[in-house]
Amino acid sequence: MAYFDLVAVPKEMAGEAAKRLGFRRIFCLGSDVELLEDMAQQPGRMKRIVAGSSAEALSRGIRRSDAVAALATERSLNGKELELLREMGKPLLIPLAQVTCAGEVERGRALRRAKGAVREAMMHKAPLAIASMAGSVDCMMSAQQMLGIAKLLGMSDRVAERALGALGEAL
Amino acid sequence: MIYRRKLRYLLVESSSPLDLGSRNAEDALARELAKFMGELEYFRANARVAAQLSDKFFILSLNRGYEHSLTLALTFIKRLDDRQTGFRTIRTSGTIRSLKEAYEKLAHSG
Repeated sequence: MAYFDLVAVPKEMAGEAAKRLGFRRIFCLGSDVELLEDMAQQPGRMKRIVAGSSAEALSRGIRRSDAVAALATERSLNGKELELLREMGKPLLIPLAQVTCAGEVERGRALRRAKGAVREAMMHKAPLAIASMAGSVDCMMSAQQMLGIAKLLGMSDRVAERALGALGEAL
Repeated sequence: MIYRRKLRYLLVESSSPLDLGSRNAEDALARELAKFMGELEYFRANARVAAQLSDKFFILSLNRGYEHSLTLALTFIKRLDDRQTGFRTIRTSGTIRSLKEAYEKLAHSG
């Protein structure tokens, strides 16, 4: 099974680390895919991951033709948004670096939030994707580690492996 | 009957150079691992630095069955002895030799 990651570090660094860390390819935010928060922006050539602050904005974003996934943020997605993701076949992206690189105080909260997002997505049968979304080299992880964190968050072996390969299909 | 220890070895890469030969660094790593694994689990895993291959690559030995919890604990360690660092587990094996060979392959492929 081929695994993929998405990071926010320089492309050269990501490229040379990919094989060593067990990934077929590591995508970079800004050069391979963009994060979209303003849904009024016109669709462009680059694929986008939507992160909406409100339910209405996110639903609009998920329907865009250039959107490939929705990002799980502080605001938890409701049932309608998850069902929309399932219908459109677009995954809910869980950023793992927010959990592993959180400070001591926020770590518990971040773990609970991520676990809740995974549970809700699995209940509504919405597709899942996981990526580190590491902002620095210190936060990058190997595929083996990401599978371990995915299982810690409540995914089964099969769901975790599929989630780690989902970005490759989307991008 | 010969009593043979059943060990597993983990090839680990750190994001910043480390000298795990020094007592301070090894103690700091032990403290962090015990913090995330829990002292009893850390004691059962019996994790030790088996070899340091370069300033960023090293091999940890541990008792069989604790690879998963040690890998998770290493993922959460972001600071060692007041220095910012991250750990990535590259490979698990039953022998040090195969991990050294894997490291040589990585080093030569650049």
